Amino acid sequence: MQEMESLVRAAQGGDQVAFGQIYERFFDRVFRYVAARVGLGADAEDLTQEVFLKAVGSIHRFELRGRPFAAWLFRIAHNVVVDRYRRATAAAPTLPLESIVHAQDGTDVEASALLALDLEQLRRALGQVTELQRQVVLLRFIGGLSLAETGSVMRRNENAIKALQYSALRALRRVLTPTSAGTEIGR
Amino acid sequence: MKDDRRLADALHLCLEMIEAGATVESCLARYPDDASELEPLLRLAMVTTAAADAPLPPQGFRGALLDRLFQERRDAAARGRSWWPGLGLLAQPWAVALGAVLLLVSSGLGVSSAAAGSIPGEPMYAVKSAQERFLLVVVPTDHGKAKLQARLALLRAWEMERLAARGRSADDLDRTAERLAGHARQVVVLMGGTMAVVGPPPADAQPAPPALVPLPEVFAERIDAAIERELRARLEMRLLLTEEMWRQKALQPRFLRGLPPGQRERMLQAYNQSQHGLYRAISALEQVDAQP
Repeated sequence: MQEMESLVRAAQGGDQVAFGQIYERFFDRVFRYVAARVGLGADAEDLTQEVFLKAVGSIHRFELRGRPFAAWLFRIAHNVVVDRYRRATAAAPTLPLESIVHAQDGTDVEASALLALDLEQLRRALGQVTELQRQVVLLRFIGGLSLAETGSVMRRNENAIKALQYSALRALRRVLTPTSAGTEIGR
Repeated sequence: MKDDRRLADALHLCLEMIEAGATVESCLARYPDDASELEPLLRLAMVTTAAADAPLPPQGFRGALLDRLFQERRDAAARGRSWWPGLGLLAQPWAVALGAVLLLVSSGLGVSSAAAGSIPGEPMYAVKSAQERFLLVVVPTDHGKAKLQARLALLRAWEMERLAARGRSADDLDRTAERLAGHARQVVVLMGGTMAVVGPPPADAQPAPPALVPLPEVFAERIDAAIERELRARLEMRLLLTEEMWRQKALQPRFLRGLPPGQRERMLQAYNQSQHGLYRAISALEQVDAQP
């Protein structure tokens, strides 16, 4: 944490090397976060670029005593992705379930579906859960943020994020393995 | 509702345990009554993380974007925004002296030398990384930082070879090769160049040795002292990086022969990645010099 603080402080002071190190540290996580929302391809690259351009343009305004840096950066990423959807008036990806789950041999659907999941399948599945659930999955499991950092991005306390994390995984499980839905509902 | 809260807590605790290296089973053993509920959620969380692990943007995008960001910062500085107050402070002689004292103290404790010989994954490596970051901050000039970045690139190459010789994971090797290329890229940026202008290297890229005298003598008298310092600094960086590229090429076959077959392939990939980064940095520096 302190190490990140000193890097951010140096970057705010104009140290390009420090900024480069911050970039290297977050690039993969931000790219994957964006790609999990908009899919791989030119859109993901454009939006990742936009995130870092906004970050480089406003890092001097980031307050070290406020929220964690990762939360600040992912808040930018969140806003960039949401803006893109607004501009394009494109709905969140909501492809039919049958295109998500390929392994439907009727015997052990859950095990097969959960054995491996690629980013596109995950993106489609996330289109079937609520925005808050989607956010928590993206920030926690794709962006790799801690509970506190996720709470800071979503402006909720840690207990609320814990509850959302639980409900999000349950919802995602229902989407990915339709046969488990009956069990879930029956609970 | 109460059950949901309890399960949410248990789920989170298990996720933290798994992140720290525990297995799903060891966590479920703590919650035998809830295992059937927790297990699929834990496995789903792991699969979700793994789903995002693979995709990365096309090669070159990462470096080109970093170059663009640096350019943005340079443009912002040129527009009169103050990016440099912190560096100005660090350029003060007392700050450099303080850094030197701190380094001497840490050396005196025997930490520094132990850290210097460490490789990624070892406990002392964090100290080594912290020292490098500290040095990069306290060195006041871009030339000084570039020289340090070039030295760090050579250090990463040494670490790659130690990692391979000790049979360490492909991930460690990849990360170290990537860091090596990152240092080379920083050299270019600090010396006023950009990697965006350089394409991928040809199959058997081998840069020619840079000229020891950058410009004909007849021009030397007319060259502004500052420009000459820059030319010489870039030349020095090119020499360092070119020497490392040659060293890797010369030693690679013998070094690879000494590794077990599985490790050999990983190390070859790491070598290729590092050579790619070095070649692009050398080419980018050449292009800076080629500009009128």
